[in-house]
Amino acid sequence: MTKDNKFQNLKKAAIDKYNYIKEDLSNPLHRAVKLQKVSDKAVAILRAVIIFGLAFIIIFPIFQQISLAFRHPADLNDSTIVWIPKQWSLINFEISIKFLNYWKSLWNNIRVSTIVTICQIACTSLAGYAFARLRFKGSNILFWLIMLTLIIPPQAFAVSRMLFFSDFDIFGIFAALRGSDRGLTIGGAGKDGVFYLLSLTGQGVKSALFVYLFRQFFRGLPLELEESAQIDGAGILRTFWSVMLPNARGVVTTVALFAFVWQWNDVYYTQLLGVNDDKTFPLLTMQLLKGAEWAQALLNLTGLNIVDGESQTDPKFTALIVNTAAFISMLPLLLAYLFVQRLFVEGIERTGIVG
Amino acid sequence: MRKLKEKIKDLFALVKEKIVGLFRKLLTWYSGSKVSKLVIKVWNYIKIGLYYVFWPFIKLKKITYDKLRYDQQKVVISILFLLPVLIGFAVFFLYPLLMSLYYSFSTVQVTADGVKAYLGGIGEKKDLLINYKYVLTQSVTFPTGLWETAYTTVIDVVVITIFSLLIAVMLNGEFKGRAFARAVFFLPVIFNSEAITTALAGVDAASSVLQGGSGELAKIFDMVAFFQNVGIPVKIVTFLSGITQSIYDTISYSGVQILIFLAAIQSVPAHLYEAAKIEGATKYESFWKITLPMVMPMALTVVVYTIVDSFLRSDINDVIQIEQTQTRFGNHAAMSWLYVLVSLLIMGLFLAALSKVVFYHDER
Repeated sequence: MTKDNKFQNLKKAAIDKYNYIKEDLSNPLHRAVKLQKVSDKAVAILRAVIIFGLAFIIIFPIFQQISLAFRHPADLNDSTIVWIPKQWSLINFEISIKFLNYWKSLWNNIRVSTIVTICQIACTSLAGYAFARLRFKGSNILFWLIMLTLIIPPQAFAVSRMLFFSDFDIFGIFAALRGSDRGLTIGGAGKDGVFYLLSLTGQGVKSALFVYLFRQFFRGLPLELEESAQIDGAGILRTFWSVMLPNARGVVTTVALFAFVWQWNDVYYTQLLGVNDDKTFPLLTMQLLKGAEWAQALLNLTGLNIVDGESQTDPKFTALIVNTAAFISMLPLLLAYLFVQRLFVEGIERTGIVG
Repeated sequence: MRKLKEKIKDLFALVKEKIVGLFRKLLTWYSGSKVSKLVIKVWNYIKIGLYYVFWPFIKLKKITYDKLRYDQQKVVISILFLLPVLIGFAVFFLYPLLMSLYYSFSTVQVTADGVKAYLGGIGEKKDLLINYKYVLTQSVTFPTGLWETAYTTVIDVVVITIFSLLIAVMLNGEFKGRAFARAVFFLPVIFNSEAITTALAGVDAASSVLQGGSGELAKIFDMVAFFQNVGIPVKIVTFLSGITQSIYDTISYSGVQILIFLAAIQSVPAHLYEAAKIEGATKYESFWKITLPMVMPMALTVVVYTIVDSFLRSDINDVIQIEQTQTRFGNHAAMSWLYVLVSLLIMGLFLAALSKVVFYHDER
């Protein structure tokens, strides 16, 4: 009896609720509000699903790499191991470190990238400020000319650049100074000064993009800031250094991160200028490329007897090593990103790329 | 435990006090002694010396720069700021570019005493377009490769622009874990490394290790085979799997674009949205009526950047590279110029199409 009663009550309550909702929805205003709420919720769920899915797609290969890196070569053909290695081993790391010449190239990479970043910021921030605030007749034309360096890919004139660098001269000045009929040779193994020269003169990796970013940012700053500095008696240099630049922390962070990462990953300029040298001046990306190319041959030649002779000629083994090498060459960037990502993401908020 | 902590704190305080005290003692001794007076004297002499060394410059500044009006000073400083970029542009960009244009019309030979370029070929009969003719008719891979590159670039631009705009809109809203999501979405900007792509493509590491030797296991996770067995038409399956496979590429190539759009969305004044909300616009409507028109100018930047990036990544670069390794520099230059022209053409088409719909909220 009581069960039946309960059921009846429930049914009644449900019908009441239904009627109430029906009545409520007949009011157009209420209906609109409900619709808004429901659509907001649906959008939030959809967004969560999409963002989670895409984030998974991004992170998944990194986990895959980590899992592979710790796998012992002996377990390569074991199909029961998918994610967690049975035997943890650092052997892949040891071999990769050997063939990347890791510690030396890591040091070189850090040094080159840091100095290049500083040079890039110094050069492009000055140019960006000049284009944004210190305008004169024709400075817009100059700006678009500089933008040409972004639009025309550097590959387009790789050869003439290469030939020019092997015989570098401006109106025969250097040739006359050296007393020979040929100019200077820019670049070559171990001469990382070229990178600094190029980035100081705004021809580094995607410098024009940084000029663009700085220009857009400085254009977005209020004019009153500059005027009040001027009224207080600051010169132009003083205004730039003590008023404008401290405000540009966000965009400086963004530019610094990009400059650092792109220099770290750079293959094109390093190849063009021939800076990499296996013994004296190794760089990570070039070592990785060469390593991948010659991994098989190298392993066969040196005959690294690590795992019962079998793994040496196994193509999967070289794949494993190259994978680990790629992982450890990106590891410093990943670790650094973990620390600066907060600054970077905040930097985007304040970048104000749109002027 | 607490006692230990306090003890350590005390120790640190003691050490600090001692060091500060030492410095203070040094300072009092120094300010009272003759050494300080000597140092000040020497420094004054150095100052005077420096003044006379730089005197010509200071004088020059006084009679030229200081006499200028403020806006004229601005021009001088502006040129000073731009000088490094302009020098770099002229020396490292413009000159090689023009030389490459010259090379593309001539036969280039590298000899012991430098590079020699013969305009229009070496022989008696001069033909300015010799390299272009060779590249377009004799080369097997170049014309088709260029066409393919142009085709994929157009698709890339459309897909990446729309995708990055959508992602930027999503990342812009308020939700839990937004900071994390943003950090993750810019990871590919860091990992998008040419070296790693090439290195891993050569051996296809992950898939060969994960799938090789475990045929049955791999098949279980093989979506394509599964859907085909279920009875979904092959065309749809391949289309869908193609999309899912290219999602990773799309994400990893659209990091900078997302960044640009995100900054653009954030610079849209909030009062526009408020007004729209009060008038009863839904979020969907305010996206189409406010967000899209406001970020449209930035779409131009994104399109240009995407086209350049897509061209840089394309396989045609390898074809061009071969000419360089075989020291046929004339052909290389001709190829490069055709490549640049095609990319500029695509850019022009996109910009012309977009400039009709772009709306400038407030032009500065």
